[in-house]
Amino acid sequence: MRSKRIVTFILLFFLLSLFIFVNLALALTVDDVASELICPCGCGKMLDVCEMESAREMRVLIEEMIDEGQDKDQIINYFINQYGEKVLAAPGKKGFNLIAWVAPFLVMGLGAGIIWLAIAKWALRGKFEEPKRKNTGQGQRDKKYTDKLKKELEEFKF
Amino acid sequence: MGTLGFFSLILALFVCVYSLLAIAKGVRTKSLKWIKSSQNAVLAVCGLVSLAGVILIYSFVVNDFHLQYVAEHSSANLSLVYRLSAFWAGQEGSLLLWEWLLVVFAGILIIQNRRKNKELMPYVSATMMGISLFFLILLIFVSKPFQLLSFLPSDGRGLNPLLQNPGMVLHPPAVFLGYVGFSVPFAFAIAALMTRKLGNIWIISTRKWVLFSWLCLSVGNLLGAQWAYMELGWGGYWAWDPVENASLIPWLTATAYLHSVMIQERRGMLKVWNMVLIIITFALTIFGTFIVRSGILSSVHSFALSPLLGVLFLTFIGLILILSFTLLLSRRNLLKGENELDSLLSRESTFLFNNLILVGAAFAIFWGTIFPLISEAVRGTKITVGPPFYNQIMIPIGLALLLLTAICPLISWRKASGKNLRKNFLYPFIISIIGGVVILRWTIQHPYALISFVLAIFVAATIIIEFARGARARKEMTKEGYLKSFFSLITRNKRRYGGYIIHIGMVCLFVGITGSSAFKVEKVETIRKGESFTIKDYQLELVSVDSYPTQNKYITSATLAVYRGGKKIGSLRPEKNFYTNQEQTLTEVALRSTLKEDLYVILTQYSEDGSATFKVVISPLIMWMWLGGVVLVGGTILAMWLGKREKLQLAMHYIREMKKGEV
Repeated sequence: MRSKRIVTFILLFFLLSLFIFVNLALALTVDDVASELICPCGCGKMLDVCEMESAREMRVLIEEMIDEGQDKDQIINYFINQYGEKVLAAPGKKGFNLIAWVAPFLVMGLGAGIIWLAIAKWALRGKFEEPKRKNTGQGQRDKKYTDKLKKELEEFKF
Repeated sequence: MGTLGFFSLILALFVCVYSLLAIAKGVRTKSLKWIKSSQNAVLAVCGLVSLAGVILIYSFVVNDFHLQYVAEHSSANLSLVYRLSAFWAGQEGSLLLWEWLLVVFAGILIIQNRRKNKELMPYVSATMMGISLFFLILLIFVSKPFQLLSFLPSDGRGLNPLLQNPGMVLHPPAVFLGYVGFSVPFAFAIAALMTRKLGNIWIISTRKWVLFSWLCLSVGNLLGAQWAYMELGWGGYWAWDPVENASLIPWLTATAYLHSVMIQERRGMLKVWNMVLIIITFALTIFGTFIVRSGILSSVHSFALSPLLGVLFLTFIGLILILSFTLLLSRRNLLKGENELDSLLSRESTFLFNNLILVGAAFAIFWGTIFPLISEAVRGTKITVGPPFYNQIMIPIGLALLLLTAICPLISWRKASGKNLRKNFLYPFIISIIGGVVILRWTIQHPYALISFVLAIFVAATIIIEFARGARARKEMTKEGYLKSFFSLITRNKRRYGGYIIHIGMVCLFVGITGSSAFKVEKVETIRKGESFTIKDYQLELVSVDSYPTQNKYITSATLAVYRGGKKIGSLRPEKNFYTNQEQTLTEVALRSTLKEDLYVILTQYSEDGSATFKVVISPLIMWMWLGGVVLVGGTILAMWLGKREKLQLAMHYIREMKKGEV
């Protein structure tokens, strides 16, 4: 009975430590938020690396909002309301903006498909047909010379 | 002097138009006299634009502030090197540099091809002069480098402090050399289409030009990255800024071209594709100039905001694409491949996939760069497409490219056998797995970094084994020593081994990029004199903060003693400078660079009470990037300067192609 209690205690302790550890590991930092935003002063730098005064003020504001218990989405939405969608360092993966994310892979996938099909078609044709030689007239010339050689050999007598 | 410069440009415009008319007349009437006259006209344009260029340089050297361009970008207290580099600090000078390089290249082509390519050359000159005409119109009517001020200012406004950096002296000309260089293969491609000489002659004739342009663009991009690292003070080197992207996109398509053209040379395939690639690459170089100069996209390179220039550039790009592709379509029947692919597992097919990835990467970056404009046009909402987008899209693409870097050069032509695959890839595979296990403890939390390093080891192993195998075979054949066999192997096959060396450079670049982005450590600390703080295993102690004026700036410099393991290993002096002419404050980074990592220190703030705030970044392996750049340059130069045997091979190829043309 006692050992059962000890095991339960150890398990609970382990789970609690895990919970604390995960929470510590996942605790929201200023950089977590700032690395998803662009400094709106027009310098074109990311908010987490910009050294302009306005960027510093925004990072302080983010810190205050984290301390108030706001989550990442709430903080980001606040800045979108303030500065518009362009404050986001990358477009969201929904609605019209999804096209931005999907198009490169779609185009590459399409390209890969076309290449694959073309090679497969060529390779398959190569298996069933005589290999295509470039028509440089070499064949005809060869035939001409072979015929001539054959004829001369036939005519050739000691 | 400014007036003389302006008139030399006007005269160049007239002679340029004359050269185009003379070419048209010469081609139509098959008159050598007119063709010769047009060539002289091209040389005259080259001379006249060179005169304008020299006048602008002279105006900077003698501080002729009567010229608006000189007054806006230079000042009397600027050092001579920066006064010279101020030539390309603004829009007008940059466009003049473009035009100058273009007509010099056109002149070199005339001299280079005096006794060859007689049919192609009139069309090559016409294309070069057509492009030149566009830039001359810009320089005379829109963006005037010789515009005079109505008064003579006592001093100029000075050069943007951000541009007062050695990297910035060389970065723009290197990028421009690359951009303009691609006009040569483009002009030859157009000439080949016009004359229906669609074999490999245009490719052989432009081989060195393509490599040279690619080299310049590579160096230009790397110098740009170095500049951003040293000057922008955020510890990074690539911000996926529209202007940075604009020079990376043509580099990617040009790299695709460099690879696919090998298939045309070897197997007579992909003729249309190569044409498409070179047309797109050239159009993208103009697009690059358009992005920088139109100010259409917000960028850290906020040089110019000129809507008219933007419209003109866009029209020019449209014209290039429409005319080139119409011409290409009309010749499509003559561009049929001489062979077909035999197997999915062959060098040809892996090269196709390599092209797909390179062009796909170019498209992804292009798409990301223009998507804000699309969003604004469709939804009316301004958005930003910044680093998080590119990092997510480009990491898998980059890794796929790294994998193909290992596979492409070593897989057999036509059809690879199991034996070929085992021979070339078994040992590298085992080595990379062992390497992966060894580095696992450092990379376990960074799966992309782990994959990248394993692939880098794989590529390096394939190349090193290939070198060793070649050297051994040569040693057995010639009975020379290992070292001599190794060097003669490279010098006798410069094209092939130059290519391998470029790939080693790319591996170093990937190692640098991976290390510095996945394992970067940052810290911001405020300390007083005598106090210290720790970052990783470094301890930094503030020794002093000094302020003093110089000729054009007021310097505030902090001296930090750097300790490691309790032992002093050196001092760092980051600065924060106030440029008096521009009333602008900029930071000067202090750097301790080793192959293992960079210790990067920025003085962000200081106060009267003697305290100073530092941003410290530790970027592991970043030195490998710059080292990779040097290796890449070495490999490209090796591949450009062929030995006697390879030159003969190329000449024989040229003659064969000429004969084919006659048939």
